Amino acid sequence: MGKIKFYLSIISAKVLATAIAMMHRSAGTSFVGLVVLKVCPKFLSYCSKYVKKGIITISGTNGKTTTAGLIANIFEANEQKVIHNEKGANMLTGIANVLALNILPFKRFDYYVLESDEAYLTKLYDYLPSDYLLVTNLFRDQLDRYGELDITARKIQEAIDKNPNLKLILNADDPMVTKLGDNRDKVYFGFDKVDIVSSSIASHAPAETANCPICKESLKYAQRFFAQQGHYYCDCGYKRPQCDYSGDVKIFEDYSILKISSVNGEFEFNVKLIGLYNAYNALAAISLGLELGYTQNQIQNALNTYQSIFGRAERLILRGHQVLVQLIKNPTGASEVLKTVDLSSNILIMINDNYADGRDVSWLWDSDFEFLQNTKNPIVVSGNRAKDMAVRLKYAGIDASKIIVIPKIRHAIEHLLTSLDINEKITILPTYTALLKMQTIRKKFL
Amino acid sequence: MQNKLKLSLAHLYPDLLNIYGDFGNVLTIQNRCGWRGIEVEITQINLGDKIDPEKFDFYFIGGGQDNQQIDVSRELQLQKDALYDAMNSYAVFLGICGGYQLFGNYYQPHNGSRLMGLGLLDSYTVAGNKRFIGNVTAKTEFTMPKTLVGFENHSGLTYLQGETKPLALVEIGAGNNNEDKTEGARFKNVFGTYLHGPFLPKNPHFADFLIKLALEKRYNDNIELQKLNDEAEFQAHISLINKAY
Repeated sequence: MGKIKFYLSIISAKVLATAIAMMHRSAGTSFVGLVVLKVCPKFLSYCSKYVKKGIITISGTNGKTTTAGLIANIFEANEQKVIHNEKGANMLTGIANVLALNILPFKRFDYYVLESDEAYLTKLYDYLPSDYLLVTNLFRDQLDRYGELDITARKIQEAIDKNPNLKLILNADDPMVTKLGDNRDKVYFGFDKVDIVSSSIASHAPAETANCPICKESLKYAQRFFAQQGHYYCDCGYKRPQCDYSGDVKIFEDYSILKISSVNGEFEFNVKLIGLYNAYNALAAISLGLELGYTQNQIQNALNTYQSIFGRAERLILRGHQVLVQLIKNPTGASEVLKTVDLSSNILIMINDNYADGRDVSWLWDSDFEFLQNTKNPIVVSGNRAKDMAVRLKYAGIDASKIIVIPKIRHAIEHLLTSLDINEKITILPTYTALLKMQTIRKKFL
Repeated sequence: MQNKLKLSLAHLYPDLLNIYGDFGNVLTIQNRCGWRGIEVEITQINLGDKIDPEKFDFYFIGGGQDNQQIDVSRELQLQKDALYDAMNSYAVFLGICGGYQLFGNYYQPHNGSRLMGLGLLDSYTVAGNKRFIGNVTAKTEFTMPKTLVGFENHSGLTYLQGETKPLALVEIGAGNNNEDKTEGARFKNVFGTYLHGPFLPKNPHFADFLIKLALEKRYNDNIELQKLNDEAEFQAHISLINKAY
């Protein structure tokens, strides 16, 4: 009976997706998955039979999509068949969606590369246990959904506890991540040295204390890279662990040179992604690649062909204009992105407060929009919280006359494309659902 | 320009309590004074710093996660006398969410011992079973316009008693306890609220009300604030009035 439902759900998924495509709408990222899980609630457990070598899950607050994208690319560049929720739809329905659309009864895949929302990880493992879990970092994010950071860490821990054979790949520089999976088999990655060559940038945000996850006292740092990431230690003895994959990175304006040393030697990589936060994503993905036995050349080839996906430092051409799209969704991520914004470009900020964005937009005030003070051109703000964003910019020291409010996303993009010279660059900073919206109307701007 | 005036603000424990854009409230006081030529001196008070009640006209405290709130509760017991003196000299206090709870008598968690507050407000908070998360519209008698807008996210239930009065009555949202329609509290010039978003940038009339009170405390004289162009702020304010929870 269950098996019949499974096939039935796969067929209905494909029919549904075709029907949606025929109506010239985007197949969405979760709707089909929602239907599939209604038809066959155990759908995900059946999916484990269609993968040969392993299931890799990626979780954490920031960097999931880029890290998962890099990992999938390492596999694909080396002739592995992969299913990957590349659009970042990372709740159960989003994962069911991508599996249902790709699985065929007689086809096997080598790997599933699945990014999972921190809170849905434990539900995912109820049906589809993983071989590897990579955790990028744990920042304050969308507190209206999960309450507090400690609760998020606890949810990931519960997921780990459910999954006895899981191997953990953890960011050693994040004190909340390191503690996960106490006595389990763990591989650590982290940076020994970070050298920001491009510019000297200081954050305006209030310094945030990180508390020791063991004794709750304030952590001390020998080196601090950003937010709570760095070489921390505590009087109670808790400290950053020894790394299996140690990075030494030089950050240039739009790429990084990354040296990684492990017991197997030292390897150098050229990573064509912006900023330290992306260097962390690359270090995470490469560490997993090396752990699975890929060579330096195989990984570098994959990095060379990697295309930034869906709003993660994605470069587009819209009616001849060069456009860089950088998702922003929480203070730490947004501040890291804001450090890298080209102030001579035309900036469009699109803020929505739908469920997937987090309904509370107070995070805008913890993000360093002060970095935009010296921007050359007016800043356009859009989305259903455009007016909140306008106030934030005003208090960040940007003259009110330089802030243009156009709540409708389509009109905002249209405004820029019609008012700017063809050689002027555009930077778009959307929240998640604003990015989805942009994606669905993109054809209008080609 | 009101350029001879000066205001001294103490930001209490900003590295521990800063969870919901609280920095935005301080930035709002700073900018709205600055645009009028009023000098603002901001002092960050950290654990172990002794508070001099003579020195400050305005005390701001934000919200935080449980662990940080426990640390601050302990510290505040040591600063209690100084802050009482400040309250009695009509200094302005603004506490948001966790900070608001600590202005009250105590916080009673589900398990474990009471977290002692300052008792500046005659209120107490008990842990609830439900988290109230959403947009809030409330009405206050203290300002014109009367509306206050913001976002709440708390499970604690706060009850007022004695001479401590509500700051506002909720039209949309749970407010203090989801029972009596009250939101926030006031006693003398001590104010507390569950609204963040943050609170002051989207309620510029309330920000000015507090600035005026703080200046009047400092100079012991009636002070009229110069008008500012608040178009952007009120656009945001109006767009949030009656926004769905």
